[in-house]
Amino acid sequence: MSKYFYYIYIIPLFLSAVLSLKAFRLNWPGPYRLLSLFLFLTLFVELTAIFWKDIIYLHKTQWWEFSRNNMWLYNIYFLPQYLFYLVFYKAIIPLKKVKVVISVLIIVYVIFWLINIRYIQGLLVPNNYTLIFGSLIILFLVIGYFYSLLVRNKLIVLHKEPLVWISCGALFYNLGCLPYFIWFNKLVTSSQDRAYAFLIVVVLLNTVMYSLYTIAFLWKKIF
Amino acid sequence: MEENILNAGTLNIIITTIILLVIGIFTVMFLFRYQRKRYLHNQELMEMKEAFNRTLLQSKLEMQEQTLNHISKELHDNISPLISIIQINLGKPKLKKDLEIQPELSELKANAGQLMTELKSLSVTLNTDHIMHLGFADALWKELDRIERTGMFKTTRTVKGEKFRLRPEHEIILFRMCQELLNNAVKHSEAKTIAVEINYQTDELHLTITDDGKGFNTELNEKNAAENDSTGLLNVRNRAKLIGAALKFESGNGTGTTVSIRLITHQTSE
Repeated sequence: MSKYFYYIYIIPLFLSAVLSLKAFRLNWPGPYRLLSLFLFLTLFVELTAIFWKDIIYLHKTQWWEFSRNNMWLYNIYFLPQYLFYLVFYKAIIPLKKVKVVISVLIIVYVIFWLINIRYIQGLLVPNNYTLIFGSLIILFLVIGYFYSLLVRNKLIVLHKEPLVWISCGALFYNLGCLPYFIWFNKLVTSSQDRAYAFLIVVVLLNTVMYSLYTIAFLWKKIF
Repeated sequence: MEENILNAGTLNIIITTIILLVIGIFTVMFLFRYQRKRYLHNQELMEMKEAFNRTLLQSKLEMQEQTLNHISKELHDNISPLISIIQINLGKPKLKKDLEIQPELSELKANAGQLMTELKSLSVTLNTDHIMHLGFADALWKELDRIERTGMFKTTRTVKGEKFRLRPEHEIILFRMCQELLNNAVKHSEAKTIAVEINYQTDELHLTITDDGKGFNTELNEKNAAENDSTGLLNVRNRAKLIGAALKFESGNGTGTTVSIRLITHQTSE
């Protein structure tokens, strides 16, 4: 399989980021505009990570020379990534109790990320503990959002609600990747090839997630 | 041995991933199905509420019709004979001998005659059976005759298309709407002319009532209806809703008023 196949998720990510500009043009609520900024940040991080170790090899230029390992970029990105989801859902879920839990999670997550990157796993090793914690947080947020849909009095047409598509994307990605993140250490120590082979699952789920984000921004919802 | 452990681990990841994704898909499906059920339930509730309101409105209108019928019969059976007796008494020879009171007597007789005519006419317009018998259009022309007899208004009537009868309940309700609208024109518009046009189209009836009076602010009027205790237009709107007619008011200060009613009909032969 071509190594470029592993970058296929960049296409829906790029599409969703471009389409998300609609949130600014049509003056969608603040959280959607924040999502747009987050998608552009993600696109920037992903492209930088790819160009760092591949294609144009940013790690080695005439001015500098670093390790080809690009994990440091992802490990740093995990902080704004999960913080974004926490802030995004906090603004959208109307249930007070869930908002309180999210506020606590924001503090706990920042502390956890800091301890893990500084003292436990470090900057250059995949921070899968952070990923596991982050995935569990997103699952909690999505379930919380779905629950808020079930208990709210006002009915909405689900397939026309951008947030439902976004939540479905986040749910499928994090549910599907969680087992891989959990067994990652064991897999890497026993067979690096197999750990790499499993990356295809992450890539495919990423593609599904960003495709669902793209669909979310295709709806002409009027806020 | 190590290979076996590795294979078991790989299998674990694959199976867990599949199970979790299936759970995710079922969660989303459940959400969509549940929301759909809630939507249908809500729609059912709204339909029930609508049906209840319609029944309530229908009962109110039926009671109103019964009351009008009763008043019509009272006018016809009790008041009319009394006026007849007055007319007979006024024609007695004893009174004819007194020459001094003859001018007043003649005027009294004329007044009693006019009272009798007006009373009969009023009784007819209040009587549901009579309206059904005459048909909506003829009953409406009689109502216009009555208005014209006051000498204060000129009326014009136009009929377009091939005349047909409406469903009986539609005829009564439409007639009552017109009565209310004409009554409004007479009472408030300060108009000189009232024009009515009935346009019979295939499966549709267009009716317009136009006056050249002072007009009114339709939005403001509707807003202040509750405060002013004015239920006239509200009744007209409710009646229109009951028979599924589209009602449109066009009016402005000093420009007269045009009321258009559009009703989808199920034609019955004349």
